[in-house]
Amino acid sequence: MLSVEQVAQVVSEVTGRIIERVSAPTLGLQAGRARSLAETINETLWWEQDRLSKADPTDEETIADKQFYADIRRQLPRVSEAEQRRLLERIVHRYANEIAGRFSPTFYNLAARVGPPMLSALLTGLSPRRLLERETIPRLEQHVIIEGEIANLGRLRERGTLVVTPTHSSNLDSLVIGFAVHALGLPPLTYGAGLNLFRNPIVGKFMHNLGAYTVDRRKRDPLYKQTLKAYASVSLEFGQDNLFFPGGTRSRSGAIERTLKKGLLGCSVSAYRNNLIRGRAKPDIYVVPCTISYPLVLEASTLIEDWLAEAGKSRYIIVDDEFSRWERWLDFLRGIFSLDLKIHIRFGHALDPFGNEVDGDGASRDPRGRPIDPRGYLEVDGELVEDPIRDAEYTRSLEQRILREFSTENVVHPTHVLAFACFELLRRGRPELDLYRLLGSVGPEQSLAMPEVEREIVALLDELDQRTRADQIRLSTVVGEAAARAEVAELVRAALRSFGTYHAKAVVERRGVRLHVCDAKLLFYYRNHLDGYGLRGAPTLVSSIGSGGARHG
Amino acid sequence: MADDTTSDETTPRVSVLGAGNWGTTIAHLIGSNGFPVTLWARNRELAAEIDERHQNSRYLPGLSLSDNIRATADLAAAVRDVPLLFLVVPSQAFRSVCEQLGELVRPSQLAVHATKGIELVTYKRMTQIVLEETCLRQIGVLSGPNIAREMVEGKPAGTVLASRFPRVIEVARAHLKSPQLRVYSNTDVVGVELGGTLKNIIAIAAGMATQMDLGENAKSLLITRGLSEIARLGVALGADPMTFSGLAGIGDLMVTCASPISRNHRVGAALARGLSLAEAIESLGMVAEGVKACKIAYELTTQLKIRSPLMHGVYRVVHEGLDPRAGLGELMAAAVQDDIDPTLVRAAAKGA
Amino acid sequence: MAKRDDDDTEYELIRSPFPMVRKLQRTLAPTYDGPAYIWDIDKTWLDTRISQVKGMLKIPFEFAVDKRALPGTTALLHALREGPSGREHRPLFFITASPPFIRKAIERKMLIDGIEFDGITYKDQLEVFRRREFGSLREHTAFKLGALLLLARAFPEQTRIYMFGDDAERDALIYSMFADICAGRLRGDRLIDTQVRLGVLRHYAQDVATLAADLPARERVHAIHINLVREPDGRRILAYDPRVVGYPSAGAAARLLCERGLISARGRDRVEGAGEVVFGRAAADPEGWWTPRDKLACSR
Repeated sequence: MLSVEQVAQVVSEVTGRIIERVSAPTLGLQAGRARSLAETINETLWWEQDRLSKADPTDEETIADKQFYADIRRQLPRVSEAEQRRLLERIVHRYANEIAGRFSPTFYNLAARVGPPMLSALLTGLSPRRLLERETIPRLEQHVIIEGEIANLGRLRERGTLVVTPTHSSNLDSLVIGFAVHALGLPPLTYGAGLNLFRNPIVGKFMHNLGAYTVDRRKRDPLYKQTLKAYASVSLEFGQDNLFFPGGTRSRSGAIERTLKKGLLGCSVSAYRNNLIRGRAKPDIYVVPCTISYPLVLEASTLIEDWLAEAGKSRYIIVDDEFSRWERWLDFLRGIFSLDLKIHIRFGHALDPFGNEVDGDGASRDPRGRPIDPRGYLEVDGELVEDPIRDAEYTRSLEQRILREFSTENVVHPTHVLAFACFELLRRGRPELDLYRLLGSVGPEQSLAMPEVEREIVALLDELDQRTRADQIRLSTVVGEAAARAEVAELVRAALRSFGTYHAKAVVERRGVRLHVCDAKLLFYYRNHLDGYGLRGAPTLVSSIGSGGARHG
Repeated sequence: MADDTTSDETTPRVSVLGAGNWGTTIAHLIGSNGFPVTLWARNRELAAEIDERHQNSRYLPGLSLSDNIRATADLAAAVRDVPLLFLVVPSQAFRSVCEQLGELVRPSQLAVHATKGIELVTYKRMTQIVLEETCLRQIGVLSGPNIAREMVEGKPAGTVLASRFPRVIEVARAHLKSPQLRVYSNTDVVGVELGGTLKNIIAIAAGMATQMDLGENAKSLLITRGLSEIARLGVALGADPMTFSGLAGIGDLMVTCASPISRNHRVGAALARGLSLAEAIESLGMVAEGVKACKIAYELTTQLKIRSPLMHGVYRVVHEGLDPRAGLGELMAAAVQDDIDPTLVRAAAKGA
Repeated sequence: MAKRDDDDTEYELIRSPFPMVRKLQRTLAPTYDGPAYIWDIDKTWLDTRISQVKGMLKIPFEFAVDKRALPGTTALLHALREGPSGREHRPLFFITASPPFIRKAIERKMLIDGIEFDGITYKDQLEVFRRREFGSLREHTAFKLGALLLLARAFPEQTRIYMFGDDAERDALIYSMFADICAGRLRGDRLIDTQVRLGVLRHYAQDVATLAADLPARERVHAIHINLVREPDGRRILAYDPRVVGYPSAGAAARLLCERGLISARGRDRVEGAGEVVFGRAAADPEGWWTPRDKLACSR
């Protein structure tokens, strides 16, 4: 982890880079003419004023921001070009400082050591009888299963810098990954966390100290975005292991990502290139995709509502969701522990910034496993050459490779299987309805006969089993056993247990020998975890649309 | 860097892999532009003939090849440390050559293929095969209305270079362009590859139409409806619909359908004369790409549920022994759709 | 009779022959002739201390997960539900003297343990309390007979009933009486008097007899299984005939049920518990009575 001095160095390096880029005559070219520094500053002023006009006027930060920009605005018309540069520097430096985290190694170690047992104790505390009877206290590590390509992570970490890129379905993700990284004995990762998390009453206070840097999604100033990207890039170059959520935002639909945001992802190739150019001792960047699969998702209701409202973009920042409410946390964690649920974190193959697999020693391998020197991808006649279009293309390959890992390392839980089977039966029963009408037509008064659902599950498990053997998807223990024996009773029980206990109303409820779908939207949400695999001949309903909002084509 | 300092004017910085008529032609065009070029032939005698006598009597008899061509049967020698490679091997041999290439190439090298076709069974495009078998990433495709014979005779022509990497286009174009050849660029690799492959199917139909003496109106009908089918399938496979209005689409389709000497055209004509596929191929002496392409297109369009009566008709004539006249009757009797397919209009609007 | 409970429409509020609250979620096909299982909850499935006032007060405040099932019984319930093929959903009903206000905890526990029931009847203790019939709070005979008769009326005639209870209370006796009521042997005054002898208020006993009178006479009960929680040697069931079986553990019961073709070998193997079942030792009654003669009111 970076020391306080190093963070200061990163901030000044970021500032320097942005200023250099903005004032460079060739790159500042837009529509055939050079943009002046004043124009760039004015643009920032415009965006920031736009943002501040919508902000709470009594908020301390808002007042401070307003004062700062008023000052810039006052000076701007009267100063020389050199002075303009200094003003811009002030803006960027301020952005960079705001982004930089205030990490405290002492605090991190304390939290990592005390956190999980404290959480366990808290949960045990909920049930006084258990505590009195001195039963085995549930432990977080029994509920977070870390698997996949983990053997070499420590070695790779020593040889280069890691960029861990998980799927993103919950705000718990960064905490779960934090736990996993600590459990694997790796040093902490730095990551960009939305400002809303910092303001979260539950975890906000911890965020800064746990290695997060701030991402304020309300700031739409391109200069801010550049600064943000430069921050990630420079911290990588300083050897700081990073955590990127390459999907950009939590999956609203419940499906795993089928497209990624290339901006942040592109930092890996640019950091590698800069490391080579600067002749750094350990220039390698290793991208480590992983999936986080929850049997139940804390914020499922809000997320799917958002997706269905086609507001994925406009409501980019959800502030008031389950994540900021204590009782939902307790329900969720209690669910995880009392129902003996397992959160699976599966690490995929480590990759170089070009999307090639790397071996245990960090050497890149071509598609047929032959060692190659990836430096060549950046060279022309043996010289390292900067070429943004070329690098964007490499990042696209990296994206495709990460998506493949996401798809193959995705873990299927009983909830996903039951939801998929029920949804398929409902959909096939009403082929004339489009998605929205179908969801609207499903109420608790309708029901599916259990034998029919079970037959559908048996057929689905058969396909899942084949795909698992072909390494195309992964199954949780319960699903795996059900598939191996073609016995579905235990799987259905597990799914009904999960569906009946956490969400405000049961997603699916058994009454006698019939299953009633009480929350069609959540059924759709959990079903979507298996979307895009073409299972049971089902159409792809959300995966081609991306993570935010439904687009009708 | 070490290589760079030792290189001089006579060390070839470009190689063409494959010495069939099109590979030899590309090498000749590059050589004629004054660049030293290595041409790799699998066959040792052919390599010797080209290297020593500047002749390729098997594929381009009677033509005197550029002095700048050095031919070899040693693949490693043709590939190692050469910045730019042209891959011009038949589609069904493409993977096996790439497997060998995988052992030789390095990430810094650029590669452009000029093979029209799709791999049977896997339905893979040639660039996909390169990506699967080698570490090469900076790759592209060369395609267009390019009859080899006319090109070596120095007649004017245009061609398309498609790559997602500007430098691939820039370097390859520098070697190819001449007062005789205009080289256009495109970033739609998928569209350019598919255009060059699928047009062969329509060419078979054109051959039949010519043989049956259906007239020029019918041929135009064939070409435009054919193009529409090509574009529909192409878009479903990820291509940009506009690509098919360019040289690699309509351009290539027109020349293939117009020229009675093209292999696909001749297969179509032979079938219309009542020959079986085996007899048609025998009379030709070589396999036409369209024969394989129509099978692949038939399977793909069926799988993707894309309406393509023309390509299906050709498939049934070629592979199921349907009488070409009966096939024509079916086509003319089929329901009439919009002139411009709505799916293409949408796809074009999305791209804009 | 079938008034609707206000807070939850799934529950029927039943006042006659005894105050109870019931949820029925399955109607069997009229031609059904397979088994139906009727289970008690306390000490038969769950290890609760319901008969003690202290325990009764404690239960509502416990978390569902804290309730412990008796070892092996959850697996036994799964095995019975799945049947010998492992893929069935054989009818399963619960009758419990627990008050309805703990239904959330009980049904949540069932959800967590994956117990698929088709119906559950609670004793409406609050109503009994309101009627100031304090003696009936702890005495379950009329409630259980009433609940059983209502179920039997809802079942197709050919349904084969298998019953599960425990030896902590009078389950063996009540179930045997029910078997004899179904068969038409125990009805009318004798049924009323026998109940009254057991401490049932006369008006409840009469209502039960009235309900029984309507039921077509038929042998419906095929076996009675009693969990031996009080006397593991089975001495509390020895006075019954061999159709009444005592089991010291769920495992022992599972072995018998598998032998009798009611559960699969796989289902049996998942049920833990040692020991052997004990069969009643009374000589077979020539008239087919289940209920020992000495428990009955004087004969006609």
